[in-house]
Amino acid sequence: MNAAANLPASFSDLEEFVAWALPSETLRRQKREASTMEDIRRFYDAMVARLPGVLEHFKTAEARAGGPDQVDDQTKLLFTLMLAFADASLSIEVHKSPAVPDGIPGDMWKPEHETAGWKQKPPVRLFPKNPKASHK
Amino acid sequence: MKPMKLSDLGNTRWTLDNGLSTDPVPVDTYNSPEFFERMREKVFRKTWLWTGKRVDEIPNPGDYFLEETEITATSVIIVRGLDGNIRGFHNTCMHRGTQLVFDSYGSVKGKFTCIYHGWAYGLNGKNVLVTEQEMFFNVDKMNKNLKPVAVDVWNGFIFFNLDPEPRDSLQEHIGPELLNRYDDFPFEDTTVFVSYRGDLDCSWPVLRDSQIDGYHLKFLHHRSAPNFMVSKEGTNRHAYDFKLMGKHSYGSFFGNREMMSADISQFMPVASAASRVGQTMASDTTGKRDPTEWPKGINTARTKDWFFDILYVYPNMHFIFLSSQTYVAHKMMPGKTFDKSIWTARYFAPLSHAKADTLAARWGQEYMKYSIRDLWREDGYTTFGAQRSIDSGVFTQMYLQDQEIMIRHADNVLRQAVDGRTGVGK
Repeated sequence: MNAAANLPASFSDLEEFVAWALPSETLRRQKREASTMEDIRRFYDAMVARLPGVLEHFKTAEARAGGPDQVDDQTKLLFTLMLAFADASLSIEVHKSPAVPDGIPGDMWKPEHETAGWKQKPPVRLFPKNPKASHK
Repeated sequence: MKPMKLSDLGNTRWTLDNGLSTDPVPVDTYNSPEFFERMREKVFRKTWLWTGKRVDEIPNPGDYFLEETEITATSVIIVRGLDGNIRGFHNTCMHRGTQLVFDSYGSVKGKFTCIYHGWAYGLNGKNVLVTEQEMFFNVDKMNKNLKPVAVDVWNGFIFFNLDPEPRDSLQEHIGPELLNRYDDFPFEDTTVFVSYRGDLDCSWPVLRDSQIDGYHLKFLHHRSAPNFMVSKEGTNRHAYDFKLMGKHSYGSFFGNREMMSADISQFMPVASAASRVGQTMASDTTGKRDPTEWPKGINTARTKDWFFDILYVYPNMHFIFLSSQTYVAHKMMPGKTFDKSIWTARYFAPLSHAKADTLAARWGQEYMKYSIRDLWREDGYTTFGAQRSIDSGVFTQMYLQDQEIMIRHADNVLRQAVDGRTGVGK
């Protein structure tokens, strides 16, 4: 993440967890799986307490900015932190473990949406059902 | 129609009703290099295979994706032509055999140009340029058009067949029962949201079997789907129905709606919050829309106590229907050798869900992605140990219960295709 970016002022208490706000799903999952349950728990507890406030902040910020893509950098960083939180929450609420017990290693299960090819995927356009349209 | 209950099934045994053997199933097809060679020739070079893709992913002329198949060492370009039709060509320049494209997805303006010596081909495969043409010999007699591969579409899913002259059409391969059963499911509204791939150290049949039983949910997924399949009315049952439809098969599975829509906000506040802002595994699908109004082929028990349906389309496509409009489709392919396989898992939902126009909704979607990712990791894990047991020679046959009939049937279909006869006892 941009080292200069901070969280929105009202969430400065979460600043100590900003190292979790890594820029890709793979990096965030790797951090979660390399962390101890104690570290994940501290992150989780801090975020759970602020969850309603964060979702409220998102609403206000996107209304002010005119859409979710136009929000300020601080809010964007908070969103990335929330993604790390979503991933880390699985360790607390589901797996009771940093990694997935009885699961294949995370690095063996590759997100196609992080590949170079996926970035060149043409924008999707639906083809409504039409018996006359042939794709032969 | 009255919703069906598990207790309505009485003494039903689908294995017997379908005339299948109840003997243990030998696993000799799971680790034999010779069987693998025959399977390559008789199945993977001869059968309609799902690409993993839908038509909406290459909407415009020149949009393409690459279909790389390890067991046949083939690379096929699947491209939408200027006329809007989708075609397939071997990704091979007819000059020196160089690959024309290298990216898994892409888009070209009207033609493919070889990076090596600049030969070019139209989107219909016709050669449109041989550079320094006058220096070649007998240009008129050269086979310089791309080699075509049969491509066809069922319900928007793109299939290919490496047989230069496929023995049946895709429609014939799918068969009338499946064509009819799923003709009102709103596939055309859906697109891929999530896609993961694993290159696994297990044989293709082991991988195939990992997604065609519902038996393992209560156990392997006890953390990811806690008590979702626990039923008060039939502790031995978790399935409402199975149907064998030619080479394909279908199963519909119980879900404890009370458990699935229980208030988890106290002990799983994040999962709970995510399910409020987006679709998750435990979303209240049967509560949101009355099952009597669902597409006719899904949740035929018409009950709220439903978790998912499985549809196995032979040989490499496994659907897991999660609601009246969302589903997972797995693409299961063999690797280069008998003990390797490649699993691509994709989650599809209506495109309207993608227009998540709030950060909260996007966050809910990401949560869904991570939770399904981890659940799939549980599914993949069992394959390694099973393969090792088979390779050791210690494990030679499987005892399949009645609700694992789809595995028994798939084994029969594969043996029939490869060796012209089904397994022991059938």
